[in-house]
Amino acid sequence: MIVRIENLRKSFGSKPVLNGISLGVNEGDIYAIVGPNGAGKTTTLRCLYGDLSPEAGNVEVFGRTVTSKEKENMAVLTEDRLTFRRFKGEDHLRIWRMLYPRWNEKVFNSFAMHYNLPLGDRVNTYSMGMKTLLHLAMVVASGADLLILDEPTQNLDPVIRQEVMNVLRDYAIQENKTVIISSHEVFDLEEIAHSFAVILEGKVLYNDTIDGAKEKHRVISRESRHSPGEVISTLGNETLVKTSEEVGRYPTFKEVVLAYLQSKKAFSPFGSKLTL
Amino acid sequence: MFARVNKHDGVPAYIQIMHIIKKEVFMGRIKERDQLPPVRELAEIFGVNMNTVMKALERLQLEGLVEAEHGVGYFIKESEIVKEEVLSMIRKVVRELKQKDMDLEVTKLLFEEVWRND
Repeated sequence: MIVRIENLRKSFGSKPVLNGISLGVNEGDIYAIVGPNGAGKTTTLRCLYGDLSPEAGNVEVFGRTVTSKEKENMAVLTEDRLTFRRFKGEDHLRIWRMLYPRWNEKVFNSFAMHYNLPLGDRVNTYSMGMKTLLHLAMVVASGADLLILDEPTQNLDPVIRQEVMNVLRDYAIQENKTVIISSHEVFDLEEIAHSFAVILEGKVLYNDTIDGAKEKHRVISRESRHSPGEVISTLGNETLVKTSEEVGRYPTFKEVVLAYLQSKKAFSPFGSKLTL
Repeated sequence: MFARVNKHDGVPAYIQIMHIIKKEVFMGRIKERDQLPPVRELAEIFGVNMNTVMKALERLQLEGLVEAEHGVGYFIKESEIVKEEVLSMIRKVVRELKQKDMDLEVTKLLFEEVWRND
């Protein structure tokens, strides 16, 4: 296993953000961390790449706790993108080239040419999409075995978004890279992810491979009186159930994610069950 | 030659891959004893993880459609299924439906409904 997170806890001040996150990512996996804003996706990733220190729990990458040695083998697309705003694109490039021993100039150049990245300009003159593209180009060219991407498709137009996701997927398959992506764009994730975790309020509600999740659940009509398994939640006039019986139809990835996120909302601390 | 997997569909990717390979065999575009492309190549063609391809191939092996030759790859097995017969049945029905000015999408829906209720 490339990444193992066990019972991770973290709070900011008195506000708990992670309440015992556990997940594991295998080599060659494209792993999606899905959840609404504020669920703890970015905090989980920051604990993973050593930007935050966890209060409790275990984080292991390549079988060890993260030190600067492991970081040579990890490349991160941070939520706020390129850190040094007054640096030029080529300054960032120079730093990354020095940091990563297996830097691949050819890969970077093809990205830079294809998207016409203005490397001579300061990055504070870049649009958000341009910053994302430059940062992504460096992540892919880094040669690292573990790529961590926080909301990679945010601020990208639909055409570039599609293109970037395809590049990431083909790259991961060809080079056997492990990729962890956080996002709430279920549609984008569905295109490229192999495994996923749904998180809400700092907890993992469900994790599995996407195929595994589809196999273990069925969507049945809400009217059907006999329930073949555990009811997760309702989706319009249908119900998502966890079952091994051949009933109804397979759920889409989106339906599984929504059902689990809603199952949590239906919980009421005051005793009366809320209806969706 | 192979269609891509539709990730937005509910059907698990490995099952879609099994269906796509079966279809190509039926259409005669892959023949008996033909070798399938290597797993890594199939993963790229279908846009899925290698484990997903492996799972599809293992299932097809269980079903007796393909066989693995260790260290060489996967081959289409000779089978008893009368592919020509199935195809000609479909062609005949399609021709008749076309004469009745039936629409493809409507026909597909009807086909599914009748299939399930039969």
